[in-house]
Amino acid sequence: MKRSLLHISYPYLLLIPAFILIFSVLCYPLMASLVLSFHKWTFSTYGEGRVPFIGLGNFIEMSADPYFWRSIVNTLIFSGSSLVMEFFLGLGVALLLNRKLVGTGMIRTLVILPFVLSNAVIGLNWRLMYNYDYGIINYFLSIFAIKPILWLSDPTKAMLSVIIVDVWNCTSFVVLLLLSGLQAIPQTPYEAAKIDGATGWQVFRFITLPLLRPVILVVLIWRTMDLFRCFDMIYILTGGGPGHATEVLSIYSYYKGFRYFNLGYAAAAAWVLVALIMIVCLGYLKLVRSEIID
Amino acid sequence: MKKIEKHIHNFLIYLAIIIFLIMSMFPIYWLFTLSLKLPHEAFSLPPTWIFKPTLENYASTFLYGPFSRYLINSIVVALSNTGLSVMAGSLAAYSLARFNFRGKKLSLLAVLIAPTIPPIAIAIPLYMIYNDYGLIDTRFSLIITYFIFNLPFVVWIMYGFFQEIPESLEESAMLDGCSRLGAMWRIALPLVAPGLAAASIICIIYSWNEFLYAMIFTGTYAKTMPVAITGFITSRGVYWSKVAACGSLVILPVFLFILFVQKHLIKGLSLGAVKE
Repeated sequence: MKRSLLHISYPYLLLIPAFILIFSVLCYPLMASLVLSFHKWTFSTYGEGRVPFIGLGNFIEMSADPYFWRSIVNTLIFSGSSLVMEFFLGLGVALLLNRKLVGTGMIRTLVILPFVLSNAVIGLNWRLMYNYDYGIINYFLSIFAIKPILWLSDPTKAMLSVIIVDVWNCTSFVVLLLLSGLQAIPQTPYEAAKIDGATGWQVFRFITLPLLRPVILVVLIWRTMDLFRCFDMIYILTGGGPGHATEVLSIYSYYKGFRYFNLGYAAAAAWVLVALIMIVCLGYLKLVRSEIID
Repeated sequence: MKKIEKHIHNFLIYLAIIIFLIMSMFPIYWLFTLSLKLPHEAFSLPPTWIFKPTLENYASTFLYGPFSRYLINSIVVALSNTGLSVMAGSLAAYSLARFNFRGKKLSLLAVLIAPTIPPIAIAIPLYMIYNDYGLIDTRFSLIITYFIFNLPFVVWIMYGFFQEIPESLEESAMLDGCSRLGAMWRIALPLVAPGLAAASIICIIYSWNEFLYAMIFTGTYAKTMPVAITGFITSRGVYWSKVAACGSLVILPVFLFILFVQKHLIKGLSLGAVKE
């Protein structure tokens, strides 16, 4: 075989279009936002024509802002509770669907629906259903003689309402992934367990769960990342309010950037979010590694 | 006795699944019926379960005003980005799956890390860049922005699909005088057609639904449907019937899509995560 220059450069040639596109819309802007976070970019500094470098100034200013810390706590509460609920509900439904039932194909199609529909539409729809006066949810509650609830405008309940919508929206994704994981498990260990007379719980605990572990980890990582940077749903449901009750970090950064046009500060806040996500991902990866060593 | 027990067991499983399905389907059903009701029926309590469907809301939304343009924007953006993403992404995936070269591991790592970046971190600098080049409020800006998510996703899915095909097929084609690209085009691509379908569907759905970038980068002209819908929230109140009509129209194509191509979609979505 002759090895021409073209031959050696083939792999790179095929990569070039994707590489250029990803570099220009992803890598370059990402680096630009890191640089931006060390500058004081506001309307006035931009208008004067010089955007001063202020080192860690934005980050120092942020650490003195109580609403910044509030948004971090909100992000953790929102992501943590949604993740736990979505995971256990999703696991339960996936286990139920993982048997030969009539109409499973149809059911599986329907299950995935909430996840693939537009978040903007879903958010608005839930906003209507949550409406105090003519929302359908308060109507259902009134049948059971429960007083109407101010779902989205009561600061103590807004976070719960937002979490409910996210659980409704994303559990289907957990179901789908866990279900395909369950179906990839070979039948032989189950047959052996049956011969040995294992109970249903033992089968689940000692066969299903260990074999499902890689998929579970993937699901947890994906969901955690997605929850940490969640924006659309919360923005449409409450806009971060009432007050700052549901203002997560991505919404905090958005307001700083596009309402007050303090773009340097907003970039700094966004990078805190990037760092948070990285830390969580590294945590998961460590978990995976320690498990392999075990 | 055992038989009755088994029947009860099965019944309970079905019951649980049905409750879950009703819970996940009801909001969608509610939105859809709302779009077919006249305003006075829409907000009466107790709700009107039986009503005469009307297309009034659709007509009043789409016949007057700019909504047909927003719909076209959505379609143009979704299709253009999907086409380009699938082309560039499959080429890259083929290269990653078939060749060993310097920087291969790094490229794969980049593809894996890309989706973890929160959109708001990229939206701020991109907004400034687009502003400098006069790209704000153009369809073009959205078409290239959606590469951020779609391109890594296509590469990841197609990488999995290409790896499943034995390389010997292409090698024998090349022995018969086919060029490398010819072998890819004639042998490998037809075999990964399901993968291409899955990748395209996911790209279309993502571009069709995307909200944050579309809200920040567009103003009056290039708005896509999800952003346009939020325009019904006004200081004088929310036009719920129009929200329902437009919302149903955004949801409906995805719904039909999923019904017809669910197998490809599920394979695509799960391959990205499960097959590792």
